[in-house]
This record gives sequence, structure tokens and C-alpha cells, in this order.
Amino acid sequence: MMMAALLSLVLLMMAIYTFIFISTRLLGWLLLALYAGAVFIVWWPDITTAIAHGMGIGRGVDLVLILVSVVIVNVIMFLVRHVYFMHQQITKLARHIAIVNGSQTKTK
Amino acid sequence: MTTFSPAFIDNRIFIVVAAYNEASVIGETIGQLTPLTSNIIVVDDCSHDATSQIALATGVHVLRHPINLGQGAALQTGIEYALALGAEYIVTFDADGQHMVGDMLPMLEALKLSKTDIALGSRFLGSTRGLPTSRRLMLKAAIAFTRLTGGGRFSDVHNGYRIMTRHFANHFKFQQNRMAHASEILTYITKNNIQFIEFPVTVTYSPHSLKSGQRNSNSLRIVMELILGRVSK
Repeated sequence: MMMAALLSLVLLMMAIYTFIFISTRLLGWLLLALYAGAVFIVWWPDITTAIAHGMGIGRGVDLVLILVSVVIVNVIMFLVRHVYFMHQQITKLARHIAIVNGSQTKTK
Repeated sequence: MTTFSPAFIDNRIFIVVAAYNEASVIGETIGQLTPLTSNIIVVDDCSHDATSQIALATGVHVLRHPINLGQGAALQTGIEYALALGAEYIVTFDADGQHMVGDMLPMLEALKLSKTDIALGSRFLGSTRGLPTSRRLMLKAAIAFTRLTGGGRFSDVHNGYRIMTRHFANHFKFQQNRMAHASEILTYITKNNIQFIEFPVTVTYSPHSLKSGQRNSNSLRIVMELILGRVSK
């Protein structure tokens, strides 16, 4: 009971922090709902088992792990693509600086 | 002394030399090129030595990246600058002295006669001096890998000696910043059925060029860069 309360408190603090610092309102509410769902699962874990059985998965924890894995893989793919895009932007910026400075040097 | 026909002293030809920490050889390399044309663009990829200063003292165009991006990025910077200055033919030439200036005129003439868009230098159609066996094996493996992965049939897949037309440079952009750019241009040529020629060139390996050139262990990194480049699109 005490661990469940402690975990709920941590999730609540993360929910508030996320809600405050996420600028997109819709995303903020979505994340708040996810944290609320996490707190619900902490106090009523059997709900995951019921949902899992309905989906043909043996245990509730397996369902949670599968969902978390899917989210993590998608986030990683998004980050990789974002980093690649930023890398290209940095390249363009460095190129622009080199060309502007270089053209000034040659005319001297 | 090599003589060149007046047709080669052409203001439409630009030579792009990407350099990184080549202070010990850049002056000599530029010195070999300046008799041909004053349209030489040295792109200093944020060297830690006096590469830029030495190049500037020769009076050529010098562009300097504020951060190190890689040879592919440096070449692309030089190519874009050459296009802005009105280049009709762009030569990519290594800074470390591996390439022979004497190959340039014949390669350019061959490109013009062929009416294709790009001439690719090939050491295996030409000759090599001082090529270590391990490097030869790695290059041969790279040729086979390129063919097997649909990169096209080329006799030399890692030669920086190229002459491209303005038309080609307007349509192709190096996206790979680092060493995978060499494979990238070949893949582009194959996938878009670009007409090209391969031209025999001489590549000379010196202790300096071997030390600063491609390490055999970088082959795996090149493959990873190409795969990530395809995945991220």
C-alpha cells in the first residue's frame, strides 16, 4: 500500500511537471491522461489482466510491456529522424557561413 | 613540362579541393593546380593547423567550415560555391597529393567528347603507386559490395578524382557528409541512369596520404552511414 502510494505520488508529480512544460495543450492533456491511467493501474492492476485477456494476451504485465515497447520504438525512430534532420540543418548553416565568409575573403 | 591547349585555360572550369589538416601538402597541391586555372576553391573543413592560412596566401578561393563536417560536406560546399561563380565544369581533386594534375586535361577532353555528365577517375583502369595490399583488397571488396547492393558496376568506387558538368552538379547534392559520399554519388548515377565515363588516372600513395586517408576499419562505418541515410529519409 505504501509503495503504491509513493509510486502514485511520483507519477502525479511527473504529470504536473509534464503538463506545465509541454507547450502543446492537446499533447499536455494526452500525457496527463496517460499518467492518470498509470495511477489507475497502480491501484487496480487487475484491470490490465482483464484487458489483456480480451486481447488474447496472457498477463496484464505482458500487455503493458508490449504497449510500452511499441511507444519506445516509435519514439526512437522519431528521434533518429529528427536528429538526421537537425544534422542536415547544421550542415546547411555551416555551409552558408563558409560561403559568405569565403566570398568576402576572396574580394580582399 | 606539361603543356596544355588554350582550350583548357577556361574560366568555366573550377577545381574544388576539400582539405582537413593538410597544411603540410596543401601549398604544393595548389602550386600544381595554379598553372591551369585560378578558379581553385579550397574548402577547409575546420582544420586545426594552418591549412586555411597557407591556402589563402596562394590567392585561391578559400572557404572554411566553422565546424568539422566531413569530406562529403566540404565537397558540396565547394561545388555550390563553384556553381554560384558560374562554373560549367567542376573538378573534385584530393588535397593530399594522391592525384596527378596531368590526368585532368585528358579526362576533361574525354568528358567533353563523350557528351556525358560526369567523368569518374579510376585507379584500376589507370595505375597506382605505393598502394598497400591491404588497401587494394579493401577497395576491391568495396567494388564487389557496391555491385551486390545495386550500387552499380564501377571499376573504382572510392576515387575522389571526378569532373562533373554544371548540369550534373545542379541536380545532384552530396547528402552524406562523411566518407559515404563516395558511394552516394555512384548510387545516384546508377539509380538515375546517368551517363558517365570512367577514366584511367594515377593514384600515388605517400606516407602522408596513407596516414590521413581512409582506414580499413572505416569501411563498416561507411556501410552504417549509407544504411542510416536510407532509413532516415
